[in-house]
Amino acid sequence: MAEVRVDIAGEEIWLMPERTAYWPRLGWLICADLHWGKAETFQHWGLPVPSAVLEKDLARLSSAIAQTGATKIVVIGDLVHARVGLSEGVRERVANFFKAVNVPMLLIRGNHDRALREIPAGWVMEIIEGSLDEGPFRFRHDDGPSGGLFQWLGHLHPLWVTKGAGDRLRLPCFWIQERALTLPAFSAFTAGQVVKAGLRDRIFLPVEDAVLEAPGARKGRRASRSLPPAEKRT
Amino acid sequence: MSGAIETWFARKGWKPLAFQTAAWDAYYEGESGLLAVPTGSGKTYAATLAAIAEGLPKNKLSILYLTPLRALARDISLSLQEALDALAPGHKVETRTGDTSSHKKAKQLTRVPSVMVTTPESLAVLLCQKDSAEMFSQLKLVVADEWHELLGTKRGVFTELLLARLRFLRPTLRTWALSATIGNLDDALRSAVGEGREGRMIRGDHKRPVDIEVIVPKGGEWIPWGGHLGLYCLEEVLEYLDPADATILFTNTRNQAERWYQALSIIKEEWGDKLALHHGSLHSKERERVETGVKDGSIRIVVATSSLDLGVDFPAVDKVFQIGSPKNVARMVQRAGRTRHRPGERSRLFFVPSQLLECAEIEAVRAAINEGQVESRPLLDRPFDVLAQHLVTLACEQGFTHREAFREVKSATSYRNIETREFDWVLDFLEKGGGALGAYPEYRKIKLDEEGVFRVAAPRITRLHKMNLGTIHENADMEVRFLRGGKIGRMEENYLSRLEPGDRFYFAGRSLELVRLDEKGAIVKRAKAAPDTMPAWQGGRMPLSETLCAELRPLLASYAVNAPYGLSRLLVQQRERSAVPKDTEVLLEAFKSKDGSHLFVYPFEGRLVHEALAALFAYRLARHDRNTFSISVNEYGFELLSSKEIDFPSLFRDRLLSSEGVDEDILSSLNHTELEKRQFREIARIGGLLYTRYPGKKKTMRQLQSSAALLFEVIRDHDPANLLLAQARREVLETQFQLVRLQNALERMRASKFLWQKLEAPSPFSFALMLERLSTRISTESLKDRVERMRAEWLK
Repeated sequence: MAEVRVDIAGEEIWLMPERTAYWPRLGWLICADLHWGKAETFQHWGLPVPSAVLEKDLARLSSAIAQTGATKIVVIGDLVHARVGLSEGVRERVANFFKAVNVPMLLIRGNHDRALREIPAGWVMEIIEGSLDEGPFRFRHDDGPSGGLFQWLGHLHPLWVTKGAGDRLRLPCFWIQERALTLPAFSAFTAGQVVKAGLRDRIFLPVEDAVLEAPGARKGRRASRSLPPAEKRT
Repeated sequence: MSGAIETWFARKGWKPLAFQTAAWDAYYEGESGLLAVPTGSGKTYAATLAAIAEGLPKNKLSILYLTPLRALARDISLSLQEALDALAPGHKVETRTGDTSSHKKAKQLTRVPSVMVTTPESLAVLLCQKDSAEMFSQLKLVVADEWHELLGTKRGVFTELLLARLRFLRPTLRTWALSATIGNLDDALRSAVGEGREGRMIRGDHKRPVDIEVIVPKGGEWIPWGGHLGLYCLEEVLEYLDPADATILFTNTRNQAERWYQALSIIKEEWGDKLALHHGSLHSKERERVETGVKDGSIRIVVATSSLDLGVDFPAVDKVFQIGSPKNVARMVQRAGRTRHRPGERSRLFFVPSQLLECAEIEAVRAAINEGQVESRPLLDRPFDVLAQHLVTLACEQGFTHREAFREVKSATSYRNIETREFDWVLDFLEKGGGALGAYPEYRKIKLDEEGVFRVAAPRITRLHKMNLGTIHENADMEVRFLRGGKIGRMEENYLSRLEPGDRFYFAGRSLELVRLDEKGAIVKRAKAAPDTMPAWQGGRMPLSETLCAELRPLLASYAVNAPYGLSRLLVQQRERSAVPKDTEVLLEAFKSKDGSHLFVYPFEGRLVHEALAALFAYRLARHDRNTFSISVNEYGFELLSSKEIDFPSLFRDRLLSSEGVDEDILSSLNHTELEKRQFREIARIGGLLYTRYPGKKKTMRQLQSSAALLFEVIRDHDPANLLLAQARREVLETQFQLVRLQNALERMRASKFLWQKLEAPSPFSFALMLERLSTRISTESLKDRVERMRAEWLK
């Protein structure tokens, strides 16, 4: 296991190379923006994007569950991509996944989850509207009132630009601000927004089988030349 | 029959030119072919009058005139209408382009004009229309204008396939292409008439003499040895400028155009609106304003890039300037041709070198024109993306069978070598996605019906396909507009996204300050102070042409003490410190400085070949002796710099120049994945992996947003045998590194004598290279290693 353990609001949280976070005290595996059925949505519209995208994402999620022994998957929004993408095949593969891992899911509905009108057969899950408070945390998809709690967010698909030694990469990242943690998009088939980190923010990059910390805003400013805030650009 | 034409010509006071009569005769003999004549010499009538005078059926489309430039469609249709009125009264010509209203387009389907002027893209959309085959049932002639512009481009291949389809629908169809002079007219003819058909070549090019005058600084001042702007010569150029003379100043890059326009408008404030700027990043409304102004004479002096080379048909101007490297012969002839009022007249060009060696380049242009040498435009070899798009076009309305479509596609010259296996892959790609069985379960663009005909799988596919037809791909750009409203133009997203609010830059001749970026683009206001940044557009990478380089090498060697424009001073110093290579030699210079060991090589093969050679040499050198090189290139040569001390001459072996494994070595030496990813954007769009335009329902369509880079990664990971990936790699080698030219260069270098020079101090040639240092690195590390290495640097 190559996770990084950080202290957030007094709780130990693991940031994992699988683009998920783990909260050991409750046994929660937390992730965001899985966009299941996205490849199939593209296919529906005549764009050949391989379905293996879902296979690989499910395998990665299973591996994170196996490594941590998580007892619950908490998805903070955008579990699915669009209604046309919820094909027979997708529903079946996901049902098989639930059967294999035998861990229930809690979904806090995100904007894309409007497509999920009812829970497909075999998907072991519960859906919560709005937000969920637990311990010192509030979990929600998109930014909103925090009620004084530390917020866990998705939606943004944060990216970090690393530069140096004549090289440049754009990578998904965990973005920890003073009062919020934004998770990287779990799906490998998503783009994202380059974030502009504040002075005391911390950025963690899941790369291959490790999680590396990027320097904070001081040197990082140079790395993340401005793009407008994500809300405005999507 | 041609009696009618002669009568009409006589009434107009014209005399048919020899090539016109030849073209009419060839048409009456049932021939297809190529007319190689300069623009503005009566080629439109040469290509069409015979077919018009022959008589046209009522309410049937008889003649299709394809122009790649929709701005020209109107002018062409006006002159064709004049011919119709005289030779076939009662018949109409109509245009059908992206600018035509949908109402008018619908009307054209029921009340068919006899002659239609259209673009290749609009023709493709027409083929997707219901009952389109019926529309072409009486078509007898297709004219493809500006064939030289299309040749060797994907748009040209796209047009070839359309011609093949029209020939399939009308086997007796005659096709005539019109082309300016290029080095490979045979290829132009062959692709215009299609495989297996004899074509007639008709050449009407009278000699086109060009007078070139080089503007040099006064008072014996030197022309700089480096630099790209040419503004040092502003004062001298001003002496030649007068709003009484219609003038175009051509530059090589948008940056250069912006800077010259800025300088002129400050110094000559009194010229006001008589001075204008024209380049591809300006808003189309602004460009049209300038074009109209040039046409009606209200704008007198225009600073322009190649955006004004094409698509703008206006009366001859009085003066044309070329600022900076001529780059290629054909372009200089064409630009100078803007000053020609009548066929056969001399055309004239003022040349402003931005650095001294460009004076030798312009002399090479002169020599090439005298010898009748001009660049070739090699055909593309079976691009799969264009084919995939074309097959969907066929499937939209007409449908196709495997056997017929394969034969039809193979009759297009660019696909003459396509194998059944490849064609089948493209079909499978459209039908099932092309990957392993079941890799794309919900995907289907086309499907086979019970009669063995391939048709589009669903109406939504047709709808999206029609909106996204074509091969013209603009760099991702964003709109630039004022805070208080008003669009200024479009700029590359790449550049804009790197700006911070508050940054000031020149655009459209104005100094602007970025207020913010939003989803629609950049919002700016007028800047109170001078710009602190300058847009660096991606253009300007066009290298010195092979034809020009071949003239340049012997020319430089031949210059002795009395070379023109102060070139002797440079060459004398070059000889003192090093040497000037003969045409049969390659000069190599080794030099040690506090930066490390330098190797300079001067193949004189243009910058793209040098980039590839430099990467190749660095990779092959470092393979034996681990090392890191930084690289710098220009049109004349390249530099490798090693911070570690090395003795280049002793490392230099024959295998450095070996042609074996060049592809792999170049790809291994560079971060080729990044390059392929970038190349893939165009392929994905043309091949139908990505839509850039959507019908009204924005919200639904947002589900389909994706970047080509992401698609590239996903397909590479899950469907590595996808032929479009292989195409991206091939295109990187062919377009970014000019692989064919590179192989020729290696062969020439192997046959040459190596002239080694150890420098005590930088030579003039090396000096120019050191000024342009651009760093390219060579990396074979994994992603994690790269991040770790960067991290090590952050933590320093």
